[in-house]
Amino acid sequence: MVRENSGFILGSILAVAASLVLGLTLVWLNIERMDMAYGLKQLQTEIDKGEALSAKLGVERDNLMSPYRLRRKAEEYGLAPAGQGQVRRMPDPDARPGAQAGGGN
Amino acid sequence: MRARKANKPLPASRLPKARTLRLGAAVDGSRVRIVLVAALMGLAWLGLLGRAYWVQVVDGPRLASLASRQHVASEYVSGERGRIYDRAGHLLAMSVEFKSIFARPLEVENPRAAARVLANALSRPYAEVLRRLTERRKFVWIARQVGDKAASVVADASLSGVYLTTEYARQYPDRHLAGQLIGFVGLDQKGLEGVEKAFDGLLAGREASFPVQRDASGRRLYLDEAGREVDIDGGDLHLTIDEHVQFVAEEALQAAVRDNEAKSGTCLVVDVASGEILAWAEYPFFNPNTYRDSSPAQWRSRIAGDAVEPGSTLKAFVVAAALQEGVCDRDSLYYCENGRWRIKGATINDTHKYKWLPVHKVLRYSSNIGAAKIGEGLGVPKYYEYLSNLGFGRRTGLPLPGESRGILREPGEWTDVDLAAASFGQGVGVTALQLARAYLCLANDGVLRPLRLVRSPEVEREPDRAVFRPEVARQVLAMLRDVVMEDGTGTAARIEGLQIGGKTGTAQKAEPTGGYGKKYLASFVGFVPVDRPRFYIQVMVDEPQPSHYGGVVAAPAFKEIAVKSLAYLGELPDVGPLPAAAMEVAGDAENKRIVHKFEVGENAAGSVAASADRDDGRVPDVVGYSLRRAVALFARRGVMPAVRGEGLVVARQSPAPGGSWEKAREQGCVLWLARGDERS
Repeated sequence: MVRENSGFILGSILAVAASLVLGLTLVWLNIERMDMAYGLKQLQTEIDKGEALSAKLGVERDNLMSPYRLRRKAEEYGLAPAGQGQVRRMPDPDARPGAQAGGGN
Repeated sequence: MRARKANKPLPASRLPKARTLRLGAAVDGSRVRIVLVAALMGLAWLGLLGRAYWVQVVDGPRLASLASRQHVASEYVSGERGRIYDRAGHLLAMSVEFKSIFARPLEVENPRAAARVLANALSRPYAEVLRRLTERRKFVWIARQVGDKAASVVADASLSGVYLTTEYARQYPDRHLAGQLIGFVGLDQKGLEGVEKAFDGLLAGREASFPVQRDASGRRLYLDEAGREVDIDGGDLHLTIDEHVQFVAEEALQAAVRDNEAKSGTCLVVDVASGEILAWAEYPFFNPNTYRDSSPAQWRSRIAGDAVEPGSTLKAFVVAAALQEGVCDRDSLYYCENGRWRIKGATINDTHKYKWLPVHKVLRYSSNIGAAKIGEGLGVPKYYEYLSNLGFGRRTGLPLPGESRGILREPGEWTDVDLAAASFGQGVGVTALQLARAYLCLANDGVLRPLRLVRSPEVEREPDRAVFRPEVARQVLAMLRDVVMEDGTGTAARIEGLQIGGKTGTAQKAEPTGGYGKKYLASFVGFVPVDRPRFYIQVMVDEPQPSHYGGVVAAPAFKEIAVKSLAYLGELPDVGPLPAAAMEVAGDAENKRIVHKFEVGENAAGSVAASADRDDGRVPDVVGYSLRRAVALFARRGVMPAVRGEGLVVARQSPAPGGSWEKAREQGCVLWLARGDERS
């Protein structure tokens, strides 16, 4: 009888201990999860900022490369669109034989 | 042993009586207390369990919902609006994040100090900012979509009651390039004009909401991927427009409008084979970045939305229809009444006095009377049928808002005068798009194909439909060639080294009060080159002055667009007249050979299909080439030719064309030159 009781008590103690450990583990995991969530949020914010900046710089680059800007810049350097007699086409020496040569100014 | 004895407990029966009684009472009391404590503990546990049961099971859903409301929130996000690209992938429109500044005036502690900071950062008048900050309202916008620098200054100032929020703004990096075509979006990122409006369903970002956790201070945390894997960004749109051809077209159109003191102008450049629109230019320009500074009249695309009387550019179709129906042939003669013809009370005039003209010269000299008589022979029902088959009077089907159908009255409403007028392009209203599509029909062997404005996503297209027989279409193209290359009205559109075909148009504009006044629409439409049409270019200039002739006002713009577009694409021919001096060094037989080659264009230096450019492993024929080009061709194969004589044009060569390169390297190459004009 006594042996049976002691087994029950031991089992109960182990169950309580296991519950305690599991509970504490759960709490620890949740804390870690929240920590990670804060970190992720911070990284996400940085990514968003980076993407927004990249998009703005892309627009700025495209604006600088727009035909109107290039024309103005070309005029500064005395350049103008090619006229008749000013266009030469040189095929790519590495191109496959028989392949069509590309155009260029 | 004694000790053991001494330690041995005495049986209870042997204890003194009083002590036994006290011990028994203590044991009973402890038991009672233990039982009592146990009972209390039991009750407490029961209470706890009961409460837990109540909280978890009975009241669980309600409490869970309350908790969820406290620490879980729904986050609403909008996808980015899709981008618009040209055919080569150049960016034409995209949305980027901007900061906007707003204030809650009741929370602003020191309006004057705040106004000073804001006015400096935003370059706004101090008084205006102060007025906004002191309004008796809960919310006021201070500035929307401000630059990063200004936003940073305001954020760093940490002004009480002044806040920053993020908004998307549409940016058009090429500014006014194809402004009317692209259109613009409102502050809410909804398309309001142009393809921005037509493709709003594709471009607009979608909205989505997903749960996020909130901490005690309200910060939102993403704890899982719920909902965020959904693609909510708008789709991208790829137009057929070529950014550089568009620029060239806009530049030439602007010059044509300004030089001729005109009101406005439009221009289309179309790839003939595919029907893809390469340039869609309208002047005055419209910059969608600053659409609030422009009037609605400037936003609107006149190419799609305006129906105009095209004038003589319509004559090509009355001629084509008459040829197709056998009403006349190329050489049928029409009496042009010496430049003035009265018909049913109306008078038709030509700019020059012609008597008898064959059909091809009616087109070449753009005789209104000749065209009216051809139309008369064709009759209203047939002419109407052809105009209708060519797509006049109905929309082209391009995905654009506000496209006009044009004006093509039912045949029953036409009088003889109407037929005569319609034969030379008056009394019918067509859009620039309709005219372009109809001309492309001539270039595509009489098959009417839809125009294309969008490369991707695929847009449903009308099926092709034959309107003219191929030989009829080619006959009309040959007549259009004469308009430019012979003594026609379009000689200003000639491009050296290319066969150009086109038609001028000088349409009188109807007055709002009725009748025709002294305002004109000058136009020129044409093909480059006309023998194998690659590009169709259409220029219309509204109300030019003092000259109002299409051949004077619009044809030079056509030429400029063609030359610059071909140069950009690397297809501009490098031909010119063979210098007479080149003939001096060669014998008669050789002269004939060179001249023949130039005439047939076989060796036209720089021509698209120059035979010497085809590297077949043999020494090319470079006679007639410029020195620079000939040397380039030899150098490409590792042979540096010796040069004899003076000049810039190759008159003779050694080794002869067709020899092997190995032999040429062994023996050496020589080029004999002739004098000539500088052409490179």
